Amino acid sequence: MGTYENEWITLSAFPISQAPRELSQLLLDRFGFPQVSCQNIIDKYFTVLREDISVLIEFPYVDKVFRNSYYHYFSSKHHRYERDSIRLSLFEGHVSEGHFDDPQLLPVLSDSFLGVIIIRPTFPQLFGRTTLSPRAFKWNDFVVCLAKTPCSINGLQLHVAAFPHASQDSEHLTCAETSIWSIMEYFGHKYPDYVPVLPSHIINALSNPAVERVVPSHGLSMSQISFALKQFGFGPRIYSREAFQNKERDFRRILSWYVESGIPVIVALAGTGIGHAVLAIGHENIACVLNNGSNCCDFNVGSGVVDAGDLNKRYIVIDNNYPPYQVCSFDEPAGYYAEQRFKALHIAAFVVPLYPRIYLEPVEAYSLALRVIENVMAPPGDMDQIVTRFFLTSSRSYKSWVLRSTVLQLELKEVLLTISMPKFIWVTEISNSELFMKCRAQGMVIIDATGDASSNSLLFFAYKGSMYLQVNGVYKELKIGFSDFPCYENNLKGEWSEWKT
Amino acid sequence: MENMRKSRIDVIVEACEKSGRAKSYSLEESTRISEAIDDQMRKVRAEVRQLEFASRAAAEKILLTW
Repeated sequence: MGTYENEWITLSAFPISQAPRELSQLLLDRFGFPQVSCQNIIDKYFTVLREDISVLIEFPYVDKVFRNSYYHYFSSKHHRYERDSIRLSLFEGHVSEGHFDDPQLLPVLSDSFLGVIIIRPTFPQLFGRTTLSPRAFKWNDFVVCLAKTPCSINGLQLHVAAFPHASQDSEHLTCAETSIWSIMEYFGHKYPDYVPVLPSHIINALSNPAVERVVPSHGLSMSQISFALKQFGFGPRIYSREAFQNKERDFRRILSWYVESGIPVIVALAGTGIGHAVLAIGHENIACVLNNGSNCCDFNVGSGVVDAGDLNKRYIVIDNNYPPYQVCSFDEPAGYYAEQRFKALHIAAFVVPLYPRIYLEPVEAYSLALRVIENVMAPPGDMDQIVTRFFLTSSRSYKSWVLRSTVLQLELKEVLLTISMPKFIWVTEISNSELFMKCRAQGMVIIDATGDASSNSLLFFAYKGSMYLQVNGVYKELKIGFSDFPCYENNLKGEWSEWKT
Repeated sequence: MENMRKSRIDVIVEACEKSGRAKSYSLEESTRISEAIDDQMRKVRAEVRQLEFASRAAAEKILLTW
C-alpha cells in the first residue's frame, strides 16, 4: 500500500461502460482491495444507471462524512484504514477532462451534471455519500422527494436535485443511523430549519440516554431513531403496525399520505431475526398505477368515498444495501432483494420526521374532511362516488400554486389567497373516478395542521362550483360556479418538474 | 380607504349575496352542523390517542440492525 501524502489530484473521465474496470484498478492500486470483487460490486451498482453516462473519477477526495467516521471510529482500530475517498462525478453524454478547460463548455457540464458518488476505503461497503439525480437511472417513472445539493467539481460549482443516499459501513453506522443521516442531509439542504449532520453527531445524540456504548453500532430501535430525530429539531411520530391490528387500512393510508405529502419516512422492515430500515421517499407515477390492473381501489363501483391512499401503488425507497430509488410494494417491501429471507420482510412500523408544529394527526384531519363532505357538501344519499386525495403541504407552496394557476376560477383563487393559514395545512382534494384518472379535482377541504380534531380547524371547503365560508359562526355557501381543476402537485418532484426542486 | 379595510373575501361575499348566488345557513343550522361534526370527531380522537400509545410501546421492540 503506497503513501500519497501531498499528491496531486487526478481526474480521469471514462464512459460508464469502462468505469468499473478503471475504478476497481484504482481501488487495487491505492487501497489494495481485490480488483475482481470490487469490479463485481461496482458493476452491480452501475447496472441500474443509463448507458450514455460519462464518469469523472477524482482521487484523492476528502469526503466529510467518511472523514468524520474515520476520525471517530476507523482510526482507533488496529487494522489500518485509509482516510481518503474517491469521488465519481456523473454527466449525461460524452464529457472529458478537457471540458473543464474551455469556459464555453462549462454550461454544458452544468446542464449534463447528474450527481456524485463517493467511494469509501471500506471494502466491501464501498459506496459512501451519494447524491444522484433520478435522471441518471434507466427507470425513473416516479415522483420523489428531491433536495438541491451543491457540488464543486474541479473548481466548478454545480447543483444536483437528488435524495441523499449512502451504503452502511456496518460498523460505525448501520442501516438505522444511515437512514437518520439521509433524512438530515435531505432536510438540511432543503429547509433552513434543519442542518445536515455527520455520523458523530448522530452517535452523540444517541449517547446521552444510552446505558451502553453506541459504537460499534449494533443497530437502533424505532424509539431511538425517533429520539435522534427529535434531538435534531423534528416532532417525529411513530406508527407501529401491531397497534393498527384492526385498522390495517388506516396504517397503509397513513404511510401513503405522508409520502404523498413529500415527507420521507423511515420504514422498519421486520422478519425472522432481521430488522432493517429503509426510507420511503415517493411512489411510481399515478398513470403507472392506474394502468396496472392489480390496484385494489374500487374506482368504478357506485357511490361512497374512496381514497387515493388505498391505491396499490409501488413506493420508491432508499435502501442502504442497494443503489438509490429502488421500487417496492407495501406487501413486498424488500421484493428487490435476491435473498429469500429478505424478500419475506414486512413493514412493521414507520417514523415520520414532522415539523414540530404539525399537531393534527392525519387520521383526524382526514376524518374531519369526510365529516364536512357528509354533513355539508354532499349529504348521504346525495353522494356520487367520491375519490379523495389527502396530503399535507405548506401554505406557502399551496398559495404559490394557487397564484400561478391559470385555470382556477378567479373568485376561488382570490379567497384561497386571502384566507389566513398556518405554516402547514392538510388538504383533501375531492374528485370522482373519472376526474381522478385525469389528475383533476372538483373540490377541496383545507384544514389547519396546528388545530385540533374539531370543526374549529376547518379553514375552507369548496365542492362542485360552491365554496363554503364560516362568517361569525354562520356557514355561507357561495355559488361561484368554478369548474374542475388540475390536482396540486408540488410535494413530490419528477419529470413534470424536470427533476428540479 | 374603506376598500383598504375590506378584504377580498368580504367583496366576494357581498357580490354573491347581491346576485342571489349566496345561501346563508341560520345560526342554529350552522351550530347543529358544527356540533354534528364535533360529536363524530370525539370518537375518532379517542381512537387515535389509543393508537399513539400502542404504537409507541410497540416501537421499543422493533430493532433495526441490518
